[in-house]
Amino acid sequence: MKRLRLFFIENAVVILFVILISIAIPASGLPGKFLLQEILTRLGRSSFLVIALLLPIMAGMGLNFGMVLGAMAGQIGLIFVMDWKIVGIPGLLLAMLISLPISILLGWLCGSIMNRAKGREMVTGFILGFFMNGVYMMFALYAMGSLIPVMNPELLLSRGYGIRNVVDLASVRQTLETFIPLKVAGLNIPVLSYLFIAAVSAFIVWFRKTKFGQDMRAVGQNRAVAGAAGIAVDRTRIIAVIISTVLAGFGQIIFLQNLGTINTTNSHEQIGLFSIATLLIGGASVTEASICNALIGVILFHLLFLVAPMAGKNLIGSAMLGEYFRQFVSYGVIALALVLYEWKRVAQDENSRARLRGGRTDVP
Amino acid sequence: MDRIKAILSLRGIGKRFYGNRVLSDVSFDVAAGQILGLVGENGAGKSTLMKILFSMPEIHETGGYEGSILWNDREVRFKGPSDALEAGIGMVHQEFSLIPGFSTTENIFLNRESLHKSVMTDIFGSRIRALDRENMTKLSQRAIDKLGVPLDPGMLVKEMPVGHKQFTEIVREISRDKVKLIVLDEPTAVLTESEAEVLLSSLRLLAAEGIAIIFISHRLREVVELCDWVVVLRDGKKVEEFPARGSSVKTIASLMVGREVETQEQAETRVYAEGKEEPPALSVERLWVDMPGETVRDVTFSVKKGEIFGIGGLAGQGKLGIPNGIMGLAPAGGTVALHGKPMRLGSPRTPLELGMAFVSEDRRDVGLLLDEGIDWNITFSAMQVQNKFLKPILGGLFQWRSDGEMFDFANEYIRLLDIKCTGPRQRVGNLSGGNQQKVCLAKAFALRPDVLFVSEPTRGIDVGAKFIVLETLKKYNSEYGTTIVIISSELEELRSVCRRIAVVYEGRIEGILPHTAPLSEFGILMAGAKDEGPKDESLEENLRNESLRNESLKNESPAAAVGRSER
Amino acid sequence: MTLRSLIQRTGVVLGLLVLAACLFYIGKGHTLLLDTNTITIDGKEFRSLPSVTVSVDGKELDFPMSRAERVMVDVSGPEHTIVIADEADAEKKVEKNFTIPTFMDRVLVSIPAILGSAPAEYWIAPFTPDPVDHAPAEKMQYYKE
Repeated sequence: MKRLRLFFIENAVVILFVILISIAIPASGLPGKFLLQEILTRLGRSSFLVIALLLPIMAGMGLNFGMVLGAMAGQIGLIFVMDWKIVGIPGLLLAMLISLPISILLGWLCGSIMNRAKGREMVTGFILGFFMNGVYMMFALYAMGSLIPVMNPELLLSRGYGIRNVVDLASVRQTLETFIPLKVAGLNIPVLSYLFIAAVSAFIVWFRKTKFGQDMRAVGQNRAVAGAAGIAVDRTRIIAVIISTVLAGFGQIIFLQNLGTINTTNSHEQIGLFSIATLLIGGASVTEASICNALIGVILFHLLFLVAPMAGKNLIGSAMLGEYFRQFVSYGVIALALVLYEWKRVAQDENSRARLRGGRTDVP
Repeated sequence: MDRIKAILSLRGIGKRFYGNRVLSDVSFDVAAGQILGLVGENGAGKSTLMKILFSMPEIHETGGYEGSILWNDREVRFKGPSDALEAGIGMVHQEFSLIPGFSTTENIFLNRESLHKSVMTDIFGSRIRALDRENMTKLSQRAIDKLGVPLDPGMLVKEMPVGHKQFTEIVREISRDKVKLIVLDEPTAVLTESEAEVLLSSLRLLAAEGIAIIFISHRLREVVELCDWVVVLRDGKKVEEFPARGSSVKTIASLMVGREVETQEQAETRVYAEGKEEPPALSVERLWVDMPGETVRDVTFSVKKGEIFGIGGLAGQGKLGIPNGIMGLAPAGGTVALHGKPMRLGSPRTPLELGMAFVSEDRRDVGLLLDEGIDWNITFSAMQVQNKFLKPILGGLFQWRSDGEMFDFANEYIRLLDIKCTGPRQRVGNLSGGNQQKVCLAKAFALRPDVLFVSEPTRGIDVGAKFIVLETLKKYNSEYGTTIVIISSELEELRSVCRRIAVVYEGRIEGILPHTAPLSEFGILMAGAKDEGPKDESLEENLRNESLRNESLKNESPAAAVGRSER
Repeated sequence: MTLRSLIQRTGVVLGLLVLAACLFYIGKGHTLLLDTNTITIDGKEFRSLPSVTVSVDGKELDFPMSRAERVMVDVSGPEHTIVIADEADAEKKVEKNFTIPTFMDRVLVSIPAILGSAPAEYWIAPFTPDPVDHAPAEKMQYYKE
C-alpha cells in the first residue's frame, strides 16, 4: 500500500494530467484522428526545444529559463536567412549555423551570470531572458537595416530600418515535414523532424557517457564534493548552459519553420515557460529529467492545449473558460513542481537525519 | 617498539590562530605498516594537527605552522591537499565526501575515471572521452578486495547503510596507487559493532601491506585493540606516547582529561542542593532531537526539583541537542514531563509558558536581539510570554509597553550581575561576550523560571565573568529553588556547581556520576569506553554513599574535616 | 592548447564557414520571371509561339503561356533546366540548362530568346522594376503597417 502511495506522489503531475485529459477529450467532441495527427505534428515541432532543457537540470542548475536566449539566436539566424533568400533545407541549416556562434556567446554569458547566483539559477535565467529581450529588440528593430545591411527591403518596416512584425517563412515553411514524405493510415508523419529529435536524443545519451556528462552529474548532485574532488565546477556548469542554449536555438528554428511565420517581437517570449511547463508535465522535476519526460510532456501538454477550449465550451458554455483553464493549469504545474521539489528536499534532509538518530520519527 | 625508518615524522609542530595557541611542540613518528592511534579531547588539537599534515587552505590562510614535517626522511612543505595526495597521504574525513546518486565505483573514481580514447579530444578537450566503466568496475573491485570489506561496486551511495559509505570513502583513498599513509578521523563513529569489526580487521590487512595508518578515535577500546602505538594530545601538547599493547583504557582516559587535584577546601565548601523526592521537576524519556551536529538518539534522565543537574560530554556527541530539543528549537520526539505532567514538544512557546527558560549556547543568533538595547533584551521574553512590562489601555483593548518599568528592571540586573555597559539603553551588540552572556542570563531570570536550562554558560568569557555567572546560578537556585540544568563542555565547571552530572556519548546518556567521581571515570564515559574498565558502581550506590557522606559532613568537626583525606 | 588542437579547432571553424558558404550557394532562392514578350536583341526581333507549355526543373506550369505574358516561378540553387514546348505540337521543344548567378535575385527569362536560340546572356537578365511614382505607394505602405 505504501509503495502505491509513493508511486502516486512521485508521478502526481502526470497522473493529474492524464485524468484531466481523459475527461476533456470526450467532452470536447474532437475526432480522434484529428487529435492524433495534431499530436504527431506537434511532437515533431516542439520536442527539440524541451530536450534542450535536459542538460542544465543534470548539472544542478534547475530549469533553464535562459533558453529564451537560444530562441532569440535561432530567430536571428532565420531572419538573416529570410533576408538572403536561402530556401529549403539549406536555408534551415544555414540558420542553425548562424545561430551557433550567437548561442554560444549568449550561453556563455548566461552561464557565467548563473554561476554568480548559485542556488538561484532559475530566477536569474528568467530575469536574464527579459534583459536579453531588450538587446534582441535593439538588434531586430533598430540595427537591422541601419547598421546591418539588409538585402531584401521587403523585410523591413516602412521607416526603412527594423524588421517587420511578422516575417513570412514561406520559403522554408514546413520543409522538415515534407522533405521525406510518409503517410501511415492517413496520417502525415514528419520524418525529418523526428530524425532531428532522434539525433539530439542520441547526442544526450552519448553525452551522459562522457566525462563531461559524468562531471555534470556530479556537480548537479553535490557541488562541494565535486569541487573537492577537483572537478572544475563553474566551467562544467557553463558548458551545460551553452549546449542548452545552442539546442534551444536549433529547436526554435525547427519550431518556427513548422509554424511558417516569425512574430519578431513575440515568438521567443513564451517559449521558455511553455517548454518548461511541458517538461514538468511529463513528470520531470527540478533535479531530474529524462527524454521520456520530454516526449510524454509534449503529448500531454498539447492534448490539453487542443481539447480544453472545446471541452470548456461544451461543459461550461464558454470556450474562453477552457482557454483560461489551460493557461492556469500549465503555469500552475510549474508552481506545483517547484513546491514539490522544495518539499521533497526538506523531507529528504529530515529522513537522512532521522537515520542518524536511529530511524526514530515518532513526533508526539 | 623498535623504530624502523619512519615514513612520517612530525617535529615540533605548533599552530596559532590569531594569537590563540592551539598546538605546541608536537612531535612523533609513524613507520610504514604501523597503526598509530591519536587520542585527545575535542579541542586538544588532533584535527588541527591533521589539517596541517594535509595542508588544508585554512592553515595557510591563518599564518601557516611551526615545526617541520618529514616525509620519507625529507622535509616537505605541501602547498595544498593535492600535494599531500600526490605524495601518498590520504585522509578520510568525518563528513562524507560522496555523491549520493553515484555508485560505489563512480565515487571511488570521482574525477579519476578510466576513459576510452576519442578522436575529438583535440577539438573539445579530454573531457569528451567516454567513461570506461568496465575498467573502473574491475579496478574498484580490486581495491574493495584489498580492504576486505563487503562492498557492492554497483550500489548507489544513497541506498547504502552508513557503514558502507564509510568503507567507500576508505576504499577511495586506498585505490590511489601511490598511497602510503592514511589518516582516519573517527572512522567507527557511524559504524555498527559488526561493521566496526570488519573495518578494524581490514585496517590490519592494510597495515600488513605496508600502509601506515593514523587512527583518530574516541573509542578507546578500539584504539587499544587495533593500534600499535598511541599518542595522547591534551591542550595542544603531546602528553604521552606509548605502545598500545599493555595499556589500558582507563589510563588513556585519564591522560586525555588530565589529572587535576582537587583541593580539600573546594571539596568541602560545596553544599549541594539535595533535591526533593517528589515527582521530579523534569523527567525525560527516550528523547530524540534532530539538531545537525548534535544529534540526540535516545536520552533518558530525570532532574529533581531544586537540583542543579549537569550534562557534559564531548562536542558533537549530542549534549547541546538536549536543551534545544526540549525547548522546541529543534525537531524532537519522546516523552518530556514537567512535574509529572507530560509536555508537548516542538513549539518554543510551550515550555516558556510552562515556566521553563533557556539560555542558549548561541548567544548572538538565538539569545539576543543584537540591535536592541539591554533593557529590551532582558525584558523581551517576559513581556511576550508572561505579559510583564505592559500597561493595559482602554480597559485591556491595547497593551502598551511600559518603557519606564523596563528601564528600571534592566538597571537592577545590571547592578546584580555587574554588566559593564553605558546604560540600559546600550545596544547589546556592542557589549563584550561576557556581558552579553550576563544579559542572556538576566533575560532568563526575568521570567522567574521554574526550570532553567543553561547551555555553555561560560563559553568565551573571562574568569571574572565566569565566576559571577556561576555564582548567580547558585544564588537563584538557593533563593528561589529554581531547578537548573547546566550543559557544558567544561567538566570542572560542572563539577563545581552540579550535584549530579550526566555524560552524553553518541546521542545517549552514557552514565550519570556524582560530582565527586574521579576525573578518569568521567573521561571513560566521555570516550564511550565504560564497558572496558572495572565495573562502575550503580547510581543508587553512589547516591547512597554520597548522602551518607553529606550527613557526616554536617556533623563533623572542622578538625576532622581537615584531616579527612581526599579521594 | 597544443598546436595540434589549435590546428584542428581552426580546421573545424573553417569547415563550418565553408559549409555556410556552400549552403548559401546551393540554397539561394531566385524568382524567375518567365516572359513571352517580344524582345529585341541587336536589332533582331524574337517572337514567341502562340501558345507554349513551359516546365522548369521538371515541374510544368499550370497553364500554357501565350504571347506577352509574365509568370513568376520560385527556384533555388544555381543550376536549372527549362523546357519550352509548342502547345500545338508537343514534339517541337527546346530544352536548355542554365546557371543563375548567385546574387541575382529576380531573373527575367525571355522565352522567345530561348526559342530563337539566342546566346544565353540575352535571355537571362536581372529584373529591375519600372520606376514607380513613390508618393502614393508610400501612403499605401503606411496603411499596410
